[in-house]
Amino acid sequence: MGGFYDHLRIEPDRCPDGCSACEQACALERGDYSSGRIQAVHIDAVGFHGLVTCIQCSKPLCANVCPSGAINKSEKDGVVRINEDKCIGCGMCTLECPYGGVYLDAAKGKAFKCDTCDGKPKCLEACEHDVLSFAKSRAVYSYLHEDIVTSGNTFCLGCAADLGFRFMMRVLGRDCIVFGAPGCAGTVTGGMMMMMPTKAAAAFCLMTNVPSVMTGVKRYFQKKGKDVTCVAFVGDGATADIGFQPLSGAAERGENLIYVCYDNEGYMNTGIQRSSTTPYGGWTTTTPATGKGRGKQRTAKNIPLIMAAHGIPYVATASPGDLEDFARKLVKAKAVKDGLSYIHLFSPCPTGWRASPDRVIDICRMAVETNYFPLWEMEKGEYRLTRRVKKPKPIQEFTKLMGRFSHLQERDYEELQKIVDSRLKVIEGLVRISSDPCS
Amino acid sequence: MAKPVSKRKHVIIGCGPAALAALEKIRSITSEDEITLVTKEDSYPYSPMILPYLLSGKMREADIAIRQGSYFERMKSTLLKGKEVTAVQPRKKEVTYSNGDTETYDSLLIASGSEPLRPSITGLDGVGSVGLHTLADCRNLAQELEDKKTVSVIGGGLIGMGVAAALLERGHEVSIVEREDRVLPLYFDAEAAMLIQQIFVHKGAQFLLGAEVAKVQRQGRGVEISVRDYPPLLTDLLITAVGVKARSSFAQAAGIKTNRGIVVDNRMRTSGKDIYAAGDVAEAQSFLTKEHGMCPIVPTAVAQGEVAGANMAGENMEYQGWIPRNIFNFFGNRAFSVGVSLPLDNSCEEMKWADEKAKQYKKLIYQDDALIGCAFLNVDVDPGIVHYLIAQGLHIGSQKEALFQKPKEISRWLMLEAERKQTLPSKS
Repeated sequence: MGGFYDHLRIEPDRCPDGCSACEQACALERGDYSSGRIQAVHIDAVGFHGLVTCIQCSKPLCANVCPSGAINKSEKDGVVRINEDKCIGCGMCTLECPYGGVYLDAAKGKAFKCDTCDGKPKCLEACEHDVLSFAKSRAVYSYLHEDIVTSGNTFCLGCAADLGFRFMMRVLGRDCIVFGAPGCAGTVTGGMMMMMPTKAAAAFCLMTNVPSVMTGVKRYFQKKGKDVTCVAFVGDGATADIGFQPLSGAAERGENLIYVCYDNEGYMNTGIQRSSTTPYGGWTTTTPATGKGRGKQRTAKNIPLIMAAHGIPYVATASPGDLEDFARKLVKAKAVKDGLSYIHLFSPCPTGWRASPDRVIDICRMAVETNYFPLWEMEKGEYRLTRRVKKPKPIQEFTKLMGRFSHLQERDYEELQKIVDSRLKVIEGLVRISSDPCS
Repeated sequence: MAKPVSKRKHVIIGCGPAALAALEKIRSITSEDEITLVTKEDSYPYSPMILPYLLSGKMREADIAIRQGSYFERMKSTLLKGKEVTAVQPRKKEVTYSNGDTETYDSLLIASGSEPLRPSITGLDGVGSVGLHTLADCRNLAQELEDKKTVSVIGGGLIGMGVAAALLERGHEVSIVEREDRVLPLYFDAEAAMLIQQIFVHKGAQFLLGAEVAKVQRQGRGVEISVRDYPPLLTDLLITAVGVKARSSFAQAAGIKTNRGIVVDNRMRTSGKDIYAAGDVAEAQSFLTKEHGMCPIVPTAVAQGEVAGANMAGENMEYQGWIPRNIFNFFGNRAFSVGVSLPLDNSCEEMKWADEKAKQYKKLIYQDDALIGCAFLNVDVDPGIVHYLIAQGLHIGSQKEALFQKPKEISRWLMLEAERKQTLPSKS
């Protein structure tokens, strides 16, 4: 896919008065044209200090107008380069670039611009004021393919399942068959009326039979000699309650499927009813917090652990707050060829959890930092924590970010904390046993 | 949610900058639609701008293509070379080629570009004059020049001056005949034009300004040019470069509204249903005056092509209007202008400065608090940034004088501030 590259980052606020070390270093080191490829701007009268240089646009205007086709953006490193042999020095590029990133050497009759010194910018070495840095593209970008989910679907504002699904499809790629069931994500896995916002083959199932339909499709293609990737994106209701038996069956049979459950801890699509993954103390319309009600009084089903107990090749928990981790787990799940892979995706619901849509990623991260939702994976019986929290925060740091726990009192917090701790202990125990079976 | 659109077929007439920009835009929106480009040239696309450089030997013919065959494959498009569209049937949604074949379309982009204007001069047909608009012209001209010493160029615009510079570099004796009282009349005022002219004279060029050509006739192996109020001019070769006109006759015949070019609205739609036009052939709205007019330059073509492409693919994109601009490099000098070249009316404020010895010149034209035009000769300024200031309608206000004094630094500062804040008040 590309589009995400290392780049020269400029923080001009730190530019000191009168300094042009970067410009001089560039002019000296390269020395081939009439000036540096990065140029300092100092306006003493207003105390302004800054820089101009090429920002390596994703769609470079200079390349579009070049009459000799001398300017190209490299797909490899994203740098926009001028082919000196082809440049006729007409200056069209300088007339087009609004950022002062390309210059003309009139005497030589050639245009020139920053090429980041092929990844080792000399200006950076000369800058003593931390204005320049060479920002490395985060590893998560290397996982991404084309975004095949169009904008404008019916997820609520701030929904984590939207991000989760979109991201999942960008990592898995277009070459998948998507399975869904009635629920919040129904519009992206099954479509709305005649429209389908996901540009991939999809089958919409019932809440009770997603893994069964997947089994049929997968086996049909196997008979035809094709290895297709079948992936389900289904909510916690269809996974933990209504559709649990077929899932357990498919796991036991060793069907080669990817099953992703986005867990928003309730039946959010139908009006926020409790599900078996709703946490202790959590408010829903069927576990009220008024009168004698104190939210749900049972603990949540630990579905990923139950799935792991099936002895399937791969189980993981993942969170939209840590996409790099999620991407790695998706790649592992896709690589599995001898059984079912299960990923349990934490998916805060701003509507049902009574949370602000702009805090969803904060909630995701706090869930990990309080160990409310530990990130772990199990590969062929080996358990591993993929994010180890050194100093866990108290559970109140998580619950205060949303309204569904606002009725909790001290003893409820104690109870919830106890549940969180004991669940973590189980995972930590499993991790310990995996690394050293004798202990 | 995007409405699912069944696979559509786009036909693009032309393969210049506007056509290529439209192609890329359509492809960035839809990967399914079918796109066909039709060009009457036999080669892969090149820019006419390159031809003077080819003539002066700075460029080789093998290098002029701006896109190769693999590009069209990557864009999943078909390029039909050497095919000319002779008619459009808007009702049947069909185009006809010169060989009688037809092709249907769902949406059509006319980006057929321009063709050289032929001046109406008595005897022009009989003297074998040449122009410089296509690769064939260029080859022809290069051959003609082999045994010719003196050359006269009718037309002192950008093409004429570009050719003249190339020929002077090749060692020819060049005369430039211009009807207006100055060279480059569309882009520079008298003072700047004079400085540019002086540089040309220094290189050996001869100028006939305010010169109306009465007639031309053969004289031995050469040509005699009769110019009103001037003695007759004898020359070995005559080159005409009096400008370009839209290549729009087939559109006019199809009933599409044309004026000097094909009239388009701010989404590049013509009066024909599902027919768009962009580039040199289109007559679109000006950014500064809001009147329709022609602006046959590459940046305009690219911007219009992109808008046309977006609308053809079902998106809604509006064109902001063109701003005249051009850059001219000659003998190591650089001249450029953006926006209006002369004040629009009395409310405009003009600042200018010239240094005749150093051949430097700068001029800024303000209307209210915004910059609307500028011209520079051999002054170190980023042309693109000045264009940005005009196109964004930035409030220059108290910085007018400072911008004039230190145009390079102040324009960069204003641009950086505007980019950072994104909220500077704009001209209404």
